[in-house]
Amino acid sequence: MPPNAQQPTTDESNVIDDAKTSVTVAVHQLFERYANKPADNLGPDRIGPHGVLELLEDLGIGSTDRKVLILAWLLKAKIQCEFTADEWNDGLVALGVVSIDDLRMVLEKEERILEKDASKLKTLYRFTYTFGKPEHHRKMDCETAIVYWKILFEDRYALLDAWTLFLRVQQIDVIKSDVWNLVLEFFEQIDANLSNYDDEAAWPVLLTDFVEHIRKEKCAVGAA
Amino acid sequence: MLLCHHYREETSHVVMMNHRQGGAPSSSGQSAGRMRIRSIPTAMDEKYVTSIWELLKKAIQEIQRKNNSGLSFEELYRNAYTMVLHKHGDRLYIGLRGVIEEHMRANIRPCIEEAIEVKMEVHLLETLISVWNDHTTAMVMIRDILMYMDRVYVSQQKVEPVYNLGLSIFKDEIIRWDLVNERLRREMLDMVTRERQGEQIDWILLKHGSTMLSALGIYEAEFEQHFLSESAQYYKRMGLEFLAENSAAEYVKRVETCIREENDRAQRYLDSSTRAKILAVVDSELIEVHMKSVVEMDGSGVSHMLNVNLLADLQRMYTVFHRVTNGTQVICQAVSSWVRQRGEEITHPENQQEELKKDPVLYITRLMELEERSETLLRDAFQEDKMFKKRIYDDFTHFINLNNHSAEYLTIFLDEKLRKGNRVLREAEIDEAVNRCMTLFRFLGEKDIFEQYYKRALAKRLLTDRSASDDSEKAMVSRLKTECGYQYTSKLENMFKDRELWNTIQAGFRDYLNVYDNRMERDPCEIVVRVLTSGVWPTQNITLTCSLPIHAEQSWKSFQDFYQKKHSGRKLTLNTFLGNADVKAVFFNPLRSANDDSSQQEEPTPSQGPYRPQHFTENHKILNVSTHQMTVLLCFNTKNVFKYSELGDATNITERELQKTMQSLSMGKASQRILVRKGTTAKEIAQNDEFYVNDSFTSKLVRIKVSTIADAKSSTPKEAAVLKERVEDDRKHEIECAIVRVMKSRKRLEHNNLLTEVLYQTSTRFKPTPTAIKQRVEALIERDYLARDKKDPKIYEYVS
Repeated sequence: MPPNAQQPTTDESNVIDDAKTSVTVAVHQLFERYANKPADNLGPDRIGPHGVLELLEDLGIGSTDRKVLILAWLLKAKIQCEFTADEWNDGLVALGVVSIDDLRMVLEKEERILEKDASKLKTLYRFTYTFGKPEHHRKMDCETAIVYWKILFEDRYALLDAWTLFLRVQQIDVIKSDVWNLVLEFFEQIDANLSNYDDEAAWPVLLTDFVEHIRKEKCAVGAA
Repeated sequence: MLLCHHYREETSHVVMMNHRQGGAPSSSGQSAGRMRIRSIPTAMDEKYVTSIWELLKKAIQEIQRKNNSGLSFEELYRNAYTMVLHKHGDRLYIGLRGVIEEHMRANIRPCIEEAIEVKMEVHLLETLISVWNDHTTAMVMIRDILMYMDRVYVSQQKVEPVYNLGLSIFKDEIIRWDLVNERLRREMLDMVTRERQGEQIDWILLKHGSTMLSALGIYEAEFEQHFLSESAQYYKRMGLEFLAENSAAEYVKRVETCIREENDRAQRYLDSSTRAKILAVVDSELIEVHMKSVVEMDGSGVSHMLNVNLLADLQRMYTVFHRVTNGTQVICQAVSSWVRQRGEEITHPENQQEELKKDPVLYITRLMELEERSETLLRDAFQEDKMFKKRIYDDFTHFINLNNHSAEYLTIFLDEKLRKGNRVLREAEIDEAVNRCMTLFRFLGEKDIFEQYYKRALAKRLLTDRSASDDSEKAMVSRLKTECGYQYTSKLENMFKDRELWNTIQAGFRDYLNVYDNRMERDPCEIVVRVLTSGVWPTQNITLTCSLPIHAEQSWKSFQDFYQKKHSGRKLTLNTFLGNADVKAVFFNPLRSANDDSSQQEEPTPSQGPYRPQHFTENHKILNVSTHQMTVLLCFNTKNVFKYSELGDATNITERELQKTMQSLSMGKASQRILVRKGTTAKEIAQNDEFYVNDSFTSKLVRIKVSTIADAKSSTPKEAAVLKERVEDDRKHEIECAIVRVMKSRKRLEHNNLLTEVLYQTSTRFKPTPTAIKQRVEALIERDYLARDKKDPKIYEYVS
């Protein structure tokens, strides 16, 4: 390297700038494709639900696919089925995505990473709560929570169905953030047959009730 | 006896020899002390040695034959010394042994054989002791003669000293010969058995026997071992016999006796080491094996003793069983279950006697009796044993808390003592009762419920001036403060503070009236107001105030003005559920004319003006009524007849209260019926029922107290529910405060530790379940007082 090449030369910086601008331009163009749909009626600075739907079609992912959540998370979206221009631009530029194909690949890659990286998953999980509940509410309502759990976990955890049933039977209306957070830990740590559940530990009351419930059922089944 | 003479070794052998032959004394002085001349022992010839030995041998035999008087100690000693000095110690020693053995075999054994032949009861023992004594005496003398050999030869050759040699030979040749040891043992053990069965025996013989065996070093193997095992068998049998024949108390007495006897026996004639061992055997066979059966014996065991209060027997059992490990534990167990049973008879919701369900005072009294009884037992029978104390304490805690009315009943009991009632109690009696109550109070798990009930009862007493003794009341409160801390009693003390101010405020009001207000002159309705600080007194929340009659209203306003001047920031609300009034009433008793056949009083109708019967006499009375009653009655100054619903509108008294008020005024005893209800006699008052003044009202008294519907002694289920709710809310608050307190000081704490800390903090008032605490923790997390640690959700952090 030439001795006075610590700083990029005007030429090189131009190249970088060019590269940058071309990315920004591409991203912006992508934004334009989905934003400002008349059906959404949200103005030129947002992609609305219809736009999102089209985006998903182009990406080839279903609306209940986990990758939707991942996308929202990566873009740090605030409101469901909406992306602001800033969210979109900043997010995609940071990811280095310039086309739909790029986006698709990134999402798939991220999904695979999440399968392995527990702490990242935790971040996504916690994000989901804030994202999934209405903006100015403190708590998420139960049905929404159930939907998101299904999206996030699919069939990974055997206890999820029992949990869902329990919540509905008990007519739980609202899931507090504390409970939401610990549900992940619960599913990750506790066996399907509850063998390693510690009564003395600090699980929220709702979870302890759930465990009680399962145990009672087991007894009833065993007796029958 | 022989003299004891000891030659000095330094004396030269040669010199001595010369001395004997009568030769001129050489320079013995020279060698005798200053210089040590090592003498070369001249060889002694065989014949000489033999002759010396023969001399000694004969002498020894004579000693053994007890013919020692003619012997010269000095000569014998000298001879022995000579032999040893000339290195013939071997011969001497071996020879000695031979002689002793010979003596045993030739002389002693026949004796023994004869003794055995005779087969008399203790003949063998006697004979043995006799020969033993002879032998030991002889051996002492022999030892003295041969002392030089002991000192020099024995220690060099490391063989047994002379005396011990004698003992060994006796042991081997006599005791361990021909089963003498077994026969001996048998004789001795039989003697013991006979003594146990009550015979007199020659125990001195036994003592000597023990001593002999000990000296021979075979006491344990030959005697003690067998003694202990036979005794164990004996007591095994005896144990079963005792058990079969006797009551528990008798059994214990027997055991005591056996212990005493064995102790005595061991001290008298057995080796000292045996005492502890035989007592251990007795303890084991008589106590350890059977203690459970004895304690649980039907009809005479601990249970029975407790029922009939046999304190002495219990104490004896305790002392005796204390000897073995876990002995007292068995008793403790039995006592504990008895106490628990008695307790549950009183408190268990299903098991308790009928009468106790309705009578709180009896319930508490019974508990106190049981408590006192337990204290007596502990003191007199069980020597304040800590284990017993704790057990009984736990039992009381258990059954008192089985019944969740315990706290309430206790307050009712206390109320009875502290209230002015029919029985006038002296202060000492009240204090005694309070003491007993505090003892029971300590067992309560839910002390906060007690506080609620006590507060209510105290408030009632104070407001209706029914306290028997102020000092006793205050003493009680300070007792509670000592037990539970300042917070517990702060409200109670505030009630007293309020009360103390009443007179002061009233006096101030009077002055105020004289100076400022002439309203009172216009409408003299004297009012006495007691001011209660809200939140301190457990009175109901007043949502609707009833509309007071005009005069009362004016007086009330007057007081309010006065009070506001004094305390401008405070708001006064009149509680019309309390308080009473003296109402002047004029009844126009109708006179019955001779023509008047109607048995019923004429009824007034609404349309008339003030109703008067045709002929009447005025009957002036003063009625002491409650505030609500007053309000209702004064309505009748405006109209003759009122419907129930109209009264409701006019007075604004709440429905339930109005029912009660109307019932008390119209449906009570004849001497209480101020109003008449038209038409029906149904229990419930209907909206359209009509009322008018009972002008026929008469009474012997001029001033009549009209009673209100009294509250039941113990709370109705509804009241109990209200109280319970209040307690629950209080508890939630308490738990949260405790959690915050703990977290504030610890900053970070693990879940289980937090639970422990909170339990400790609330323990003086009640015991929250872990779930309850968890719920409060979650609530606090919701409200951002606490947060979970991001990495480990079991740890909580304080959010400042």
